[in-house]
Amino acid sequence: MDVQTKRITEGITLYMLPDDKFKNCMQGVYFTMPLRGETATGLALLPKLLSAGNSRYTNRSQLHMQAEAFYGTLFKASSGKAGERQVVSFVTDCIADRYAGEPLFDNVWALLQTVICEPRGTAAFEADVFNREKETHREDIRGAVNDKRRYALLRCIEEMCKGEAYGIRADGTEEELDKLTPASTFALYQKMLHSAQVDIFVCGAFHTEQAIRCADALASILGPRQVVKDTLKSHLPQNVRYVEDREPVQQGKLVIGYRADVNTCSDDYYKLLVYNAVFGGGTSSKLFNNVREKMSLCYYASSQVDRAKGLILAQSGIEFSNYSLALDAIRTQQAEIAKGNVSEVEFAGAVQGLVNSLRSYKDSPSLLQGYYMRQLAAGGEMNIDADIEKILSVKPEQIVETARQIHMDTVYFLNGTEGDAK
Amino acid sequence: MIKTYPTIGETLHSFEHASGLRVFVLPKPGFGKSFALFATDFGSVNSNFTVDKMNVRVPDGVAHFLEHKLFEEEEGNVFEKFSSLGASANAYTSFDMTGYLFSATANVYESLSVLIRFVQSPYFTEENVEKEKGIIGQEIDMYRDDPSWNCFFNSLRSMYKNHPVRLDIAGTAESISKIDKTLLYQCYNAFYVPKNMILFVAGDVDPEKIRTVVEENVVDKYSPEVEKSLPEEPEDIVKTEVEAPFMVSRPMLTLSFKERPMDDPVYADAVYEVLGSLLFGKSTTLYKELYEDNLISDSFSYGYSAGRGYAFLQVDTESDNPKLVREKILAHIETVRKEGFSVSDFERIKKSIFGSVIRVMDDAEKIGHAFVPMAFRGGDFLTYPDVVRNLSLSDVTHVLEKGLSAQKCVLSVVSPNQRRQNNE
Repeated sequence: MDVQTKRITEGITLYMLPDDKFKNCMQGVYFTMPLRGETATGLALLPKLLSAGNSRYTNRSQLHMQAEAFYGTLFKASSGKAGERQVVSFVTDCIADRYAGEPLFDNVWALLQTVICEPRGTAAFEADVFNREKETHREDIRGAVNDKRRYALLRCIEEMCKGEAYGIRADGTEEELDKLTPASTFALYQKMLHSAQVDIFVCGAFHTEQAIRCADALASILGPRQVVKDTLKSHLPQNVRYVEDREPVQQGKLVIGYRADVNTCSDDYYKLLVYNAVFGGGTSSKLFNNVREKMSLCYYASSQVDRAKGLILAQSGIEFSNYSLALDAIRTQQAEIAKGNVSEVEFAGAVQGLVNSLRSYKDSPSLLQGYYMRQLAAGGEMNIDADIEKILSVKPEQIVETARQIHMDTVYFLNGTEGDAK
Repeated sequence: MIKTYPTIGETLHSFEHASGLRVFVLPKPGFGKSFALFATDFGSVNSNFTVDKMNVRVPDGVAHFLEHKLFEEEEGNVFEKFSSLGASANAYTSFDMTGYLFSATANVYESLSVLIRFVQSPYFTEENVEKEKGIIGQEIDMYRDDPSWNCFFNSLRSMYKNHPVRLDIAGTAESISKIDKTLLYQCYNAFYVPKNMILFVAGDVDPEKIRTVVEENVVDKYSPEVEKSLPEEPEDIVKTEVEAPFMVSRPMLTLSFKERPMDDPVYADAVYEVLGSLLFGKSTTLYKELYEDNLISDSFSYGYSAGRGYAFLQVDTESDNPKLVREKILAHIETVRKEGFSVSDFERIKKSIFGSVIRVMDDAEKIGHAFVPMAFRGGDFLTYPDVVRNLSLSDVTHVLEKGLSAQKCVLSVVSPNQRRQNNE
């Protein structure tokens, strides 16, 4: 399945994956900017402000009402990070025109374009809307603690990448939020609109002419822009840092951050990917089979790769008193791979698991969208089959070599309060 | 049997195997991924039953424990077999059922054989049962840290006096300590019999080949006479409010209405979905006012859940003033009860729900997860879009007349604990 790429104007690119086997269609517009402490909070607030009202739909309820009338079209505006860039995205998911019996694709695009381009206000956001959305965003920033597993991961990354752009929270901070004004945030919005890299992604049941027409219309409002790509810098750890937070939780959350001394823009990335799958990528992995199944230390023990930054993050939820035991067990699994102790079953399971999930993407507009946007952020292949071929060409001895290039950087532990001490 | 559904453009093949197993196949031509769900009509609420007239009472969390243990085989765990075929396997236990599943983009029929065989081959030993207690113990602890999960279960315990829907699906550290291999075999033999099970497959598959795999792998075995019993449950709730401290940034709340269960599960889901959306959707004046008064965050959702002997509608949000939110919601319901819904709102909501079901139709897994529990209760999920389309406004107002009573409403709150507040 090849994505069709069309340069609409300088800095604005359209990616299309038309397929009539789908009953749905996803449209997405992505604005990519560098991730910076001084702009992260404002950019994260923009999706909320733009959802809260525009020239046509004056408040959130009206926008929802329109989405309902468009056969329950899903609309989502959000902000996240991809490597050391921040991506502000506007995504819709609607049913195919043939089920709606009306030109839903065009109508939904018009809604998307209105939300992006026509906020209320000319030089500043309306004060009452601004203040309300700001408070909603404040709750989101504070709400990071609510999901303990994600919070532990966030804290590990924050500590590990202190001083690097990657360590900045994508939601920003309350301190930065307090500095924002309706006018300064509007200026940031204008900057995003006219200088960010813009990627438009359309996938599902539609015709390419429809998408090109819509992308042209948006580009004529936004105009061309010069996009400067900054390069990511990573450094290898001198020694391992140990960080502990104490909070009133029932279960300890252990997160280990590693840096990979691997060029993730080259084919070495595929070795890292397979290495990670063997280490902690699923039910065939060493972490699952040893830390969970053999040692009964936890319910989950897994690891993930961040391609853009070349990181591996392993995590597990454990009893507080098992901290040292679990840390050693996870360490041991990495050492085992570095020693070359990888069974055929483990290796084949890892490769097959990766291939199966990549193939599965082809059945879902939203997974395809996620996949291509991640590839774009990391400068990877824009073709699933080519990706699969590269994974299949990785040899067991290569991941052993990769294991020796993985360096433990930070050990983070979300521990309980007094009495639960480890 | 072959049944077509013109509204959604789907065709369903089904047959009953000689053992009594019901098999459903939904071909999805052009799709690369196939999905299979092999499920038994046995969930966390079935803690009390009779086997060949003998009364059995099992500790909480048995169905879920059994789900974990079935993956164990004499030669190791069955995940290995799936992963060598390139399939991804998993399982889950809900209030009413236990399901084993895989998704695969190759070797679908081989993976299906593995699925059918492993679910029919229990291998429980004293050691492997003991070993699992550490894993499940951590799963339970993980949920104890999940604020919305706790808010949800606290509301169930406040709604239901006797019905086992009030019990944690995984049980507690104490209840699972009582589980042993004898107990697991006892439950297995009672409920893991083909006539109590359903197999659902969706993907680019040949229904005839699925039939062959079923014929080759399903073992017809002795089915004891099993009767599930549920305790008498009063219509009233246990208490109106419950609150628990938690490591959260802001109070989270669940407002639940204990409803009378309906016989037709598809109709019940449809009518409550429309009613929920009309009352609590984000296009309502209720949401607009709560949000614009800064009373709630932008997360505001509703959901209807039902099974044998239970049904409830819930609204979830975050607020610094949960009681005021409850007051406003109850007042809103009263107003609507008096004034009724507008026809244009009703038609728009039906269209919206119809579209949301069409969206599910691209996802074999989502179809399976919706289809199987409904089939156990005698409903056909694939008729859902038509049932929604055919609803009349009076269907909805009729439910509102008797349902969503302020007397059967529970407010469950998890609020920031002391430590968190001191930190700020």
